[in-house]
Amino acid sequence: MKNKATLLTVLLFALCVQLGYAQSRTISGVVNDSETGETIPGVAVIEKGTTNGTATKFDGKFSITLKSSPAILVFTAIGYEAKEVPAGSQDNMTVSLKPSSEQLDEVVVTALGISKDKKALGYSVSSLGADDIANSGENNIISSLNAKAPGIQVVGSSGTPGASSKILIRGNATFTGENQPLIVVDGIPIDNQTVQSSPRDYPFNENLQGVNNSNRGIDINPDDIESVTVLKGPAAAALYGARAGNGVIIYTTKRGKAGGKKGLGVTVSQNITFTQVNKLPELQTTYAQGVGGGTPAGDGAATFIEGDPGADNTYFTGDDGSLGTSSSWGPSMSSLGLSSVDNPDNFFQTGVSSNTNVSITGGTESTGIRLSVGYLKDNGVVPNTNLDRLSVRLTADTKISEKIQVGGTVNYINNQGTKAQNGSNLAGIMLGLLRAPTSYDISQYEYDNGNQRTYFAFYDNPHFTANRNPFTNNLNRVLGNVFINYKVNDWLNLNYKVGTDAYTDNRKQVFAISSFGDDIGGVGQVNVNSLSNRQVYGDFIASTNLKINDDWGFSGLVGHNFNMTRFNDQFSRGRTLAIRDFYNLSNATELYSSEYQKDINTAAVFAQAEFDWKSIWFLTLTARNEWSSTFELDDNNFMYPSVSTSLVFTDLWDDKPDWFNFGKVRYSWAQTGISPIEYSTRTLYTIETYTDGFTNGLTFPYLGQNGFAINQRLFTKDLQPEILTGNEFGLNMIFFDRLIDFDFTYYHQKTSDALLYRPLASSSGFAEAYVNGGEIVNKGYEIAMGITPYTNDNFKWKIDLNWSRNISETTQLVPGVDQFSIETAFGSIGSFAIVGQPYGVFFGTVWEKNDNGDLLIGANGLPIQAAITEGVGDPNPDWLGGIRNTFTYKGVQLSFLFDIRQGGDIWNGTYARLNNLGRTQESAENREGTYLIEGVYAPGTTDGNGNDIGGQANTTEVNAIDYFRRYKGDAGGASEEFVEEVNWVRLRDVNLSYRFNFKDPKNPINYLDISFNGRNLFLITDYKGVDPETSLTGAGSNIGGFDYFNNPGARSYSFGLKFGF
Amino acid sequence: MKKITYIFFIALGTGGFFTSCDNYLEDKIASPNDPTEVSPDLLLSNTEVATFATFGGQLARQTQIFTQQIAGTSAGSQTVQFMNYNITELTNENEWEVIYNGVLMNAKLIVDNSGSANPHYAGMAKVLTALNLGLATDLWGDVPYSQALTGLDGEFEASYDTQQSLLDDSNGGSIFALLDAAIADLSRPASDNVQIPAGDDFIYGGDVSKWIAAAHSLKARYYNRLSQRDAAGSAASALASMASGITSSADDFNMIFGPNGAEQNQWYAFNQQRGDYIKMGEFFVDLLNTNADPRLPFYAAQDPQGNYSGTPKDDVDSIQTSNVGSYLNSLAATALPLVSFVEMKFIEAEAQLRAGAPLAAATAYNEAVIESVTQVTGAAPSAAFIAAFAAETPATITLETIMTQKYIAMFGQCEAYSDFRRTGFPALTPNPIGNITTIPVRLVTPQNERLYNPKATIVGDLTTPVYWDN
Repeated sequence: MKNKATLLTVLLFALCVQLGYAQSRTISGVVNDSETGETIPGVAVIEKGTTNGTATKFDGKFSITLKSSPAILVFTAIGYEAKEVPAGSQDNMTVSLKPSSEQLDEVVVTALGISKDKKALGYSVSSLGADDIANSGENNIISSLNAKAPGIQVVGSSGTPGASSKILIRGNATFTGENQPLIVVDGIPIDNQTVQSSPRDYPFNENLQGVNNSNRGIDINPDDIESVTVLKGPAAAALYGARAGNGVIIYTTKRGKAGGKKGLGVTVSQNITFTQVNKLPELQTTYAQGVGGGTPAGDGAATFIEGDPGADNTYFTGDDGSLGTSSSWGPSMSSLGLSSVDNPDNFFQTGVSSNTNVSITGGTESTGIRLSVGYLKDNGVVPNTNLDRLSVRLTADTKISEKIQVGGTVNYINNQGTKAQNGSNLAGIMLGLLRAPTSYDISQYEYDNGNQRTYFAFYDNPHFTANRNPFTNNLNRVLGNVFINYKVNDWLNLNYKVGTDAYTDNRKQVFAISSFGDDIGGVGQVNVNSLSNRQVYGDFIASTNLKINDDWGFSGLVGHNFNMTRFNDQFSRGRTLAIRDFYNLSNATELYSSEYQKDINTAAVFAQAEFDWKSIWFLTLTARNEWSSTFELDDNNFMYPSVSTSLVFTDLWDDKPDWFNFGKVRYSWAQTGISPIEYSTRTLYTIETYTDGFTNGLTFPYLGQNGFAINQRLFTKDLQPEILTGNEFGLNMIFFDRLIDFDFTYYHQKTSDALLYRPLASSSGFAEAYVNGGEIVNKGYEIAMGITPYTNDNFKWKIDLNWSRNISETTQLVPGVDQFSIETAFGSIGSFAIVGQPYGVFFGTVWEKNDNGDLLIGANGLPIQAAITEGVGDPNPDWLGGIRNTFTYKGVQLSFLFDIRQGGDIWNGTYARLNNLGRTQESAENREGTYLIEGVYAPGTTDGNGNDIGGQANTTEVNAIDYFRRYKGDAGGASEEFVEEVNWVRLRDVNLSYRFNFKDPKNPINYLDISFNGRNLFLITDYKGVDPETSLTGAGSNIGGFDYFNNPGARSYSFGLKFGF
Repeated sequence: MKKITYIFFIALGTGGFFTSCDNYLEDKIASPNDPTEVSPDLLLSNTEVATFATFGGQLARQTQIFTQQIAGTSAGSQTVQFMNYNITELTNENEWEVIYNGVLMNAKLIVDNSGSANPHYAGMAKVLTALNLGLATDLWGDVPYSQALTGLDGEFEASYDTQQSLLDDSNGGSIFALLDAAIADLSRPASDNVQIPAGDDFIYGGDVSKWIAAAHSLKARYYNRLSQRDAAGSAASALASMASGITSSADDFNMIFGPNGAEQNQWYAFNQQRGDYIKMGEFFVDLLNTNADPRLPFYAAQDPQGNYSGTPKDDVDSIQTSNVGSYLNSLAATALPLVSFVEMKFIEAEAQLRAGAPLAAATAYNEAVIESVTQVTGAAPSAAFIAAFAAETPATITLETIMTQKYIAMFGQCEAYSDFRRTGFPALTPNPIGNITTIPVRLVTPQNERLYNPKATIVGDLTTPVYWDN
């Protein structure tokens, strides 16, 4: 394929070159590959400074008549580095060209696994190689894409082992469905869900609680990945239909190659990684646990309070000395004669991880085979957290006959680990840790009776929760696929492929007796959750390739596919344990079970027609008709069309300057869809949980009775798919012998008929109705650039830049609705869709202000919270950029990737609460002093003498405690006060490697790579919390930008050895 | 030709795949997770539990903070807001939703779907509707009812009924008319019903005579609510209704809870899950201490010093004070009153006083106080306590005396807040550092109503009184 394309292009290239006059002397020669020694056909041979040129023939030979003297010949060929050779006086020459790593005519994997010449594409794709994945130092094939291609935003939820990573391509396209792209591995869509463990009676947003669960993409061993193609827009993804509304990421795995070098190739690699917390909020070590401080009276007014469960070491019994307090507004440590403890520093550890990969590839004339085994043992910064992943993957391809090829892959994965509680629950690691007063050393976490030792009778000691409340899971997954390819004749090819993805994930969450994770006061709890997912996918593709005439080519395909997904979630909870440390449901005196099943079947037929004119102009048309069981039967199929075109304008340009190697414009228009979520066409009855948000509420079974209520979500039968219409324009130019490769894309993507849970006033009897009618526009620019500032035979410096800006806007909701909450978050702040504003803007409580924007201050010197909530921030970044520098000197390679983010807000609820509790460093700096809040007195404010001082500048000073509680803290502070704009520059990864080549054939080792990888080695940001690449709600949620005691991010140092045999 | 043959076979193969497509798709449309139809017993148990959530949850805590019986502390950012009268349109959105979606909508479905076949279920649904609608109008004033709950018909906007119309017994859409209809339904013979409530009725186990009494008592509550609008008429109507109402504490209309996590008394659950968020209120504890009230050790727990103390209204950091005591809090399974005999006795006292019958008023009052103490403490009050607080005579009985003791008796219930607003007793001093200078006299219209119901009557000012608070 590559050779053919190469040949074709170069011939065309040669045609554009005006042949010079036959004059002077003739020189002939042969061009070969510097590595293989094979001759190269189709190499353009041009006499420098003239338009005189020719091309090598099929045997690599050329002959050219020179026009000037002394002449220099320039040899250029696709896939090779250009070379200039002085003609001298010789008549015959042999020229060796070095294969180039970046090829002008790159072949990329596109939709449905079809390989295409990149220049034929009418839309933007980004391709990454195995090195890009390996160099990221990430264990998750989603995280490893971070900052590597324009238009992609990856947000990890935390730095703990197995924490999910969310990926968005060109923003969010749907309010209720999946916003992450479809993940395809070797042509088979795989499951990349992030599922929280929660029972159906859990009344809140499950994404706000629990542990940092994994996105299931983490099961794929990055070492198996050969290449990645990111299909960003609807045109690229059109053939995937209703699952492609958010783009598609196609991973192609390494395979054994038939017909290549015979015998076995073995690689063995071993990495050791050290992981540390990279950023924490600044906490004070000056003031003790207690209340009453934060006033000019200082220690005199403050009371030291420390949790003391009494002699029985059990809280809530008669002998309790004190339940303690969550506040650190106590006396100074010095006045108490106590020494400060740095609890966070004592708590976190350096996680030591090991990653081992062994792969064996082999091939014969007709068969290729690859077996790989990867074993990752990842230990986290939080004690007792880990992830163990074993992946065994076997692929084999064989040619049964000249016409029939079959192949298949089977991949078994076992993924197990222990995770720690995150976020807003009383057993959360960071909640108990950051709030822990400096006067209380939490490192001793347990009493002899097995109860936890903690500073406040309602928060878990983080050491206790890490050691005694583990969340463990054990997942077994099998990915498999087989294909048969029948090349009927030289113009027709048939391919059938079937794949499955099946896993069960057995999870267990334990809350020890005395832990508050059970929400009912430390009775002990065990949750058993079994998730199973099974997906079967098959497609049949008949494809053809025809040469219509000398100028026109046609290729086309028709096919169909089907997809069956079944997901089952069984949850059992046992509360009130009889025997300590015995975690089986049999040990519980109160049992609850729930079950959720999701079954979705879809099928589609599709066709694609592609025309090319002289390999200069390309036109591709696709259409897909799709049926889905998420609609009612009478209106369940939809058609998704696309058109894309590209024009290599440099091939039409007669007097193109030499330095302008290649130029292409492209345009596409396409529609894809997003299907409704399952079971959304009929209003059903359901078991409700009634709660005010402060307790787990009341639900059924209740006193032995069951009870059902009509679902507060109203469903109607006539749902339509969400239609994503994309327009995309792109320009790709290559200059100066490919020293500069520039690619620009502008896109405009509109989701119409967007489904939304249209909020209803409760007086309608319902809370929401699931309806079409929203509209979301994402438009933006993407720039990718490759620059080679310096290169010679031994040394090369390469810069890869990517930059992207996505502007999202909710342009329409249903009539009567200007805004709604996309997913519930916090009482004071949520993530909303608001007409005219970006997707997911923060909407929350604000301060009262006058027309000048001054804060209105009450007589007490504190600002006043407005009764009505407003937009307070936008979590979407303004732009994202990545800069990778790669230096290669002989066998040494050094590369480092800077990741730059500009803008995008995070609600730092952690800091707001830490201010409130007097735990921040800031809150200790002027504790006995007073603060003056800038603003004007609210209209009608009177001074002590009853005079109206409304509108005058505030002069009423407030104590530190009021300042940090009611202004800078969440005991009265408006949510807008805690929204921080996030900018960062981080060294996303740095890689240094050296390859020892052993040329001696007797030496069984062919090469040895030694490498160092550093991840997040530095981070520059103003954000006052943990690493701002954080998300409380994780990858399972459509909202982001919330930080409420999120587990911290991490930096890591990794050392690796790799042997090739 | 050969090409056409191939294409034909490909088309055939592709098409053949879809011949069985209908089953392939149709079988997956219905949800395996939730039913499409349910019987009235399941709806009734849901509606009762939603009622318990409404009357036993945040509205009770919040209004008890307003009346200074309990206090919110800085341990909870939300309870501080209640203390500071920082009530926004988001504060009570959830409670509004539970009333409308949890109770009223499902009660309507009981009546609409099986009311004629099962009048007893319909009657109970109507009593629960009246109870919850009554609370809604007490707190929010004008509320949607007669035009509301029409989402299934595709109508999402409901104009509001004025409180005046909801409490106008000549109006067929009033709470009184609703309760009369309930009484009529509940009075039908069992043989008129296809299905009879039993264990699914947590409150009375299906005993319709008790439901009828509760309906009369509820009528008495709302007639009496109109004391400032029609002093004499409200008294007469209240007394008349009460005559058929609850006649003993054993028959109280109660919230019923259980020991399991999902059944717990929400005061208990709150204290378990939100330790220190609320404490006893200083005013209330001081009042009981001064009175040497025997209910104090039941209402309040001992503070760390072994005393009973309350958190001041303007000091949210005082957490070394008494927790809420065993009356509300000790057992997960504590039953708490929605409408009680004690309340009826206090209403009788107040109505008789207003009707110019101080003897009957004093008698009812004395009985009410003794009954309350007996109910809370499990024992009759001491002679000394009776002499001091339950020995009123026609000469001594005053509205303040009645309302102050009713305030003590209604601990934990939203009624105390309505009584305070209506009568001004006991005389509470607002939190001096609050967001507003007076105790709020209502809740503000929830955000969802403001944003999504253009027909809503919006009130955003906490100082605007409701109709009966004249």
